[in-house]
Amino acid sequence: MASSGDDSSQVWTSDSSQYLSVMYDDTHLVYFKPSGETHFLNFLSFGLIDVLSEKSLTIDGLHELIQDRFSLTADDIPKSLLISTLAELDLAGLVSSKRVKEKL
Amino acid sequence: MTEKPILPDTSGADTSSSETEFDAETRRISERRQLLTLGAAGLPMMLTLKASAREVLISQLTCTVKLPQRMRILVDCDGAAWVGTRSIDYVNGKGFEVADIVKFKDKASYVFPSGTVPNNWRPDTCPIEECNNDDDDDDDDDDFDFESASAELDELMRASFSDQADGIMLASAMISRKGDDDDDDDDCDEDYVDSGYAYYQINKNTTISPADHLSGSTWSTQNNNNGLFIELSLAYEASYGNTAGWPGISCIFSIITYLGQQS
Repeated sequence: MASSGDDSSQVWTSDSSQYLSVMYDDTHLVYFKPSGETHFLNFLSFGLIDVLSEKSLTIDGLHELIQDRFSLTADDIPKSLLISTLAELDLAGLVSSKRVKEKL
Repeated sequence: MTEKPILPDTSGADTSSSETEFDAETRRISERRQLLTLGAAGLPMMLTLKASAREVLISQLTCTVKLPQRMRILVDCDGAAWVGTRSIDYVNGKGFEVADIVKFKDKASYVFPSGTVPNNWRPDTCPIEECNNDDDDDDDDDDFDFESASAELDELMRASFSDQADGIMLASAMISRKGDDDDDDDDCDEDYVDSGYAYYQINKNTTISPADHLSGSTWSTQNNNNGLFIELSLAYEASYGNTAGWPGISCIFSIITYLGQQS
């Protein structure tokens, strides 16, 4: 289920055992086993699922980590772009999110 | 996304290779920035290929069968079936002409053994054998030469059945034919038979969608002529697999393969 992603209480994750990927230059062909679909991901969208396969993150944590990973700045990768890309990945089933209960 | 090829350096200068790597990384980051700018403007960051593995799997289910010629099917009370192209006349008040039935069986392209056809398609009424008098003097047996048939059958039995699918069918036809003299009312010396057979016809160019006869992942054939075709197709596939011959067998086979992949 796709969600807006713009929620600091949401934690995003991905399961690398669910897909197979092959890299071509700066893009990746990703075969997602549960749906049987093949996706063509650029460096950003693949970077997101790769990072989230290693560690579950909130949108803010993901925003920081992805900048470091690609030596880019927050201006280069607007948070809104991250959110819309996560929504695309969520629709394809490549990422999922869960809401973390805040401690009282 | 295309990238200009990095040509090998031929200047011989030692520092050029590190400069090339630096340039390549700079260019890569620049390209990524451009891509991100397009992304911020709405360019999708991922695409789903239409020709995906899922599409291939689904296409296995969506195949259809178009009959290249008219198919006529004769079914007896035991669920045996003969498939051919000859017509069988039905005379109101009398029934099928026995000679037609004999010829149809004789010329059948495919013969399926007893038990193949489910009850839905078997005849409503079956004869009670009362005319089994073998010492009558009729000429019913004259149209069948037991000696020559037996010789042909022996020859077929000697042949390799594994690579003679048609031979097996022909042998089956002969066996059935031999048995027919006992149950076709031939001994009753009748020209017509009004029970014991159901006769179906599917027109040339009829398009059949086997997936329409699936319920979930199991076969659930519809109670019509196309359903009978599917039942016979499944019986053929069970014996011969994807061996060419039966119309549309590759379609049936692909669906069975698909169902196997899903289980």
